Amino acid sequence: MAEQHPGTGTGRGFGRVLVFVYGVFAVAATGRSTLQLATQASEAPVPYTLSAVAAVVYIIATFALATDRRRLALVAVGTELVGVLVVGVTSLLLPEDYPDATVWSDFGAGYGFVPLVLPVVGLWWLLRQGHQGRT
Amino acid sequence: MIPLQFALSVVCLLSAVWLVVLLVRDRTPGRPLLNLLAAVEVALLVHLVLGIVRVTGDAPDGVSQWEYIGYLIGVVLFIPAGVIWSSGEKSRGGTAVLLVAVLLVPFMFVRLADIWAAGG
Repeated sequence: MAEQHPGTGTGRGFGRVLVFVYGVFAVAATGRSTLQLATQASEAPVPYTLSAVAAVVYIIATFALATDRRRLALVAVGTELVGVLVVGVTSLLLPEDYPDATVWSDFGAGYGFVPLVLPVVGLWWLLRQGHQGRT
Repeated sequence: MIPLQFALSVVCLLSAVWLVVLLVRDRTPGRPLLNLLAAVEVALLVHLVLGIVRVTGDAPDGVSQWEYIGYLIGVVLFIPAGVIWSSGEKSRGGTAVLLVAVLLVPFMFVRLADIWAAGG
């Protein structure tokens, strides 16, 4: 794909780090959910399905940020923020529904709360890019 | 943590300090640091083989072997992925990618130890 302006776009500069971290989470969440669904799907269907959903969201966000698709990135990162908040709250209020952990359980405490911080940073980055008036 | 993991963690953390200095001074990594990362990667491949032998051989019953092997494979991927991804961005952003990559390595060792301990 053609680079419009070297040095701009959601995958440039600080975005380079953001895409890398999203990529790591995409691979990690995909690996975790594949393993869970392949070996123990019947034991905890809800959290394992959520792990798979999280994996898809991370993959889409990584792709969108890397290829400068701002609208798709906003949808994916927004979904991620809603997901981590909803799963975070419900995993604390209804722990019996979460017999095993997902990436988003307890606001991502198992991953150093990076899953909670990441979408906030992602939205900040996307909105900042918007304000710079790219056409 | 086995000695190889400890040694690699020390090298990765030293690399991280080096990368922070580069970030502050707004420089990109030169040959010496990339050579060091290549050496770490070779050691990680040795670590992968040793780890698979260890977990399939004498692991306690409760250790999740596939999860352990998944982490062993994962830790090998960060540095090559980071070097390739950062090479397209000769700026602070690219250098920061390498910083994230080298910090992930010790983190993965901690997770490996946790998985092993959970089965013990």
